[in-house]
Amino acid sequence: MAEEEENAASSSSEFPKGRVKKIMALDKDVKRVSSEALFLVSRSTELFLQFLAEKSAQVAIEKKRKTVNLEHVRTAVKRHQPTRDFLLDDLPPPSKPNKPDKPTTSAARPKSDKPPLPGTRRIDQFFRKPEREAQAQEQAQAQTQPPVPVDES
Amino acid sequence: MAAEAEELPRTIVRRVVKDKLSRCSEDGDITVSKDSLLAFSESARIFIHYLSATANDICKESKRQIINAEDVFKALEETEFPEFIRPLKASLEEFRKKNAGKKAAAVSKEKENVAKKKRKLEGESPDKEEGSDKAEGSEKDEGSDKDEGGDDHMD
Repeated sequence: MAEEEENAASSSSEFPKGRVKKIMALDKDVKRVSSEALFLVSRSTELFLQFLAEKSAQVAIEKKRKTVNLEHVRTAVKRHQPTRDFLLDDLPPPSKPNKPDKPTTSAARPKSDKPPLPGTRRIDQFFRKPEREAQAQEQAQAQTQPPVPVDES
Repeated sequence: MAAEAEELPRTIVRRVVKDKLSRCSEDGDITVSKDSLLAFSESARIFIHYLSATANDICKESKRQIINAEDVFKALEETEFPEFIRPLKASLEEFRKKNAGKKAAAVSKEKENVAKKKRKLEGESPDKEEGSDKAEGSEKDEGSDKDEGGDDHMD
């Protein structure tokens, strides 16, 4: 029965309580937690992990890859505003030496579904491998222009 | 930061991720690289910090000392993961039912144990007391289950 399956999935908490508690306790501010809250944090983390895995897989599939790699995860994080807010800076750096500079539009970003401002995307890709040279050329041109978002449509 | 010392078990992170991935792709053949697994593990850890810190703030605002379930739900809203709330509420119901069952069972078991021991002591010589007196004394506590009031502390 579908209900049973859901129950099995919903009540199981994979992560060991002790470990989750230890991680929480590393924050000296966090002192006392009810067992219910601990359970919920544990389950939330599981849900988050599943969410992130799914988003990363989508990116990999888009790029026609069968293996999810770090860059796919990074892209997935970037695409989801709430996750990006707390996670982007903390992801392990890419294996390549050139780490992209943090775009200035982090905290003050309006909560909309718009893609990153054209300016930020261009700067971001500037530090990446020039997969598409056409874009690289565009960037070179755009660099000379004042930093005003240009309507690319 | 000593944060690196505590990690989630990698095998579990791997299992959660792979289970989800096998449901994502049509062929079920999508895999995950080592460095992305590390990223998943780190992300989960950071999420725990982020969620607890937010829940903690909410708890403090209400002038309470112990982070409870409501604080976590509010924290999920604040961190913009409201889609988790419904499934979590269902999970919480399960959790509560399980615990209620456990508690009742524990209490009745405790009573049974006490009765058994009394009978034993009456039947045997006092030499055999060993540490059983201590165990009997614990019956006064409300259930040996620490989770009873729903309170746990980190101190």
